[in-house]
Amino acid sequence: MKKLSRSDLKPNDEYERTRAAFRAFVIQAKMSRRMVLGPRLHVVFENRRTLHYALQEILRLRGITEGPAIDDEVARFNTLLPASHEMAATLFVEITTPAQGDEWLTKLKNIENCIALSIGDSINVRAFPVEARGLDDRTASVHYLKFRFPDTALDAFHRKKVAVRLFADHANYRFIAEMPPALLAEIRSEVGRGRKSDEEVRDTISLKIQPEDRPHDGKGKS
Amino acid sequence: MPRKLKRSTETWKNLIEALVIESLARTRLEYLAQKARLEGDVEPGRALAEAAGSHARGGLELLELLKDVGDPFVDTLLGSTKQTIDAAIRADTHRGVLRYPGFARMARDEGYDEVAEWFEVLARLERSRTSELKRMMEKLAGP
Repeated sequence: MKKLSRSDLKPNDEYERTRAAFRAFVIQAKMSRRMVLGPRLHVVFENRRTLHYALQEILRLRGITEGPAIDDEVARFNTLLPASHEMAATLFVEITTPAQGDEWLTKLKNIENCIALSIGDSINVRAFPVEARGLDDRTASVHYLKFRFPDTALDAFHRKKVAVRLFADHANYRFIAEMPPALLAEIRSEVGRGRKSDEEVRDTISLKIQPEDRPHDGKGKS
Repeated sequence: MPRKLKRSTETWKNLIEALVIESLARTRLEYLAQKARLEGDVEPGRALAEAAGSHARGGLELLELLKDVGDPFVDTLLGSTKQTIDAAIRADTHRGVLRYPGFARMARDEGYDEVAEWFEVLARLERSRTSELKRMMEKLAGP
């Protein structure tokens, strides 16, 4: 995916004039890019458009209008952009009360390393966090993840009749959900056939899992 | 000699509540001032902005009164610039801010997609803000 740059950005005052229409467009576009993974996790699959929008909103919120601060923010967002053989996602941990926060943010420590895509019956692609977040004793409520597909997984992912599921296999949270057809079609059109070798991504994939290790469909432990 | 403020006294609780009231009033009046200016009402806009400013100064004085018992938001001491930046970073991992993704889910469930989107943007803002503050901390720490 082409990197974001300053030339993609509108100055804040110009952005204000088009913001309502752009927001409405992106809100609509993001509807098919969301997946709920049980009662506490929500995933938004990112692409250049969704990240461009988020970047523009952040610059507006922070009141950044010029200077190296714009370049810093563009660089930060470009680390989230997926490469051709990758999928990018933002993982939200959803809590609504302080008591829930105290309980679940502690329970879900390390959740960002426990999210994976299951392709068919025997291929998993494990997500990795783009950066370390959270405190020593608890997780953050927002994580930025990438899924890196080696050839074997990418070929399987593009096969039309293969079931693709997202799952969480944390000790305190195990859920699995099938990727909706509309989302799957969009992601398939975006994740290319880049030929990264299996050796280069071996540490981010487990090619075989045992059936008893897979979280139960619709009956997560929470 | 003024009496030293103690936590968990009614006065400490009332100071925090007053801080919330003043902060809310300031934001509200700034919004109204902006609306007035957009409608071309210059004098009312100025008056509203001044009122917002008075609430801001009131809030700052409340924080000054609270500083010796610590930042009321994140329970850290406020003194040196390092301590204030640390407090600001911790504020972004405060229980309140961490609830924004959950607020987004509830808004979406109730059909308020625009509100949900705003909560998500606010939740994402923490990364940007914290990165900048951490950069400041590193600068203060020196080479």
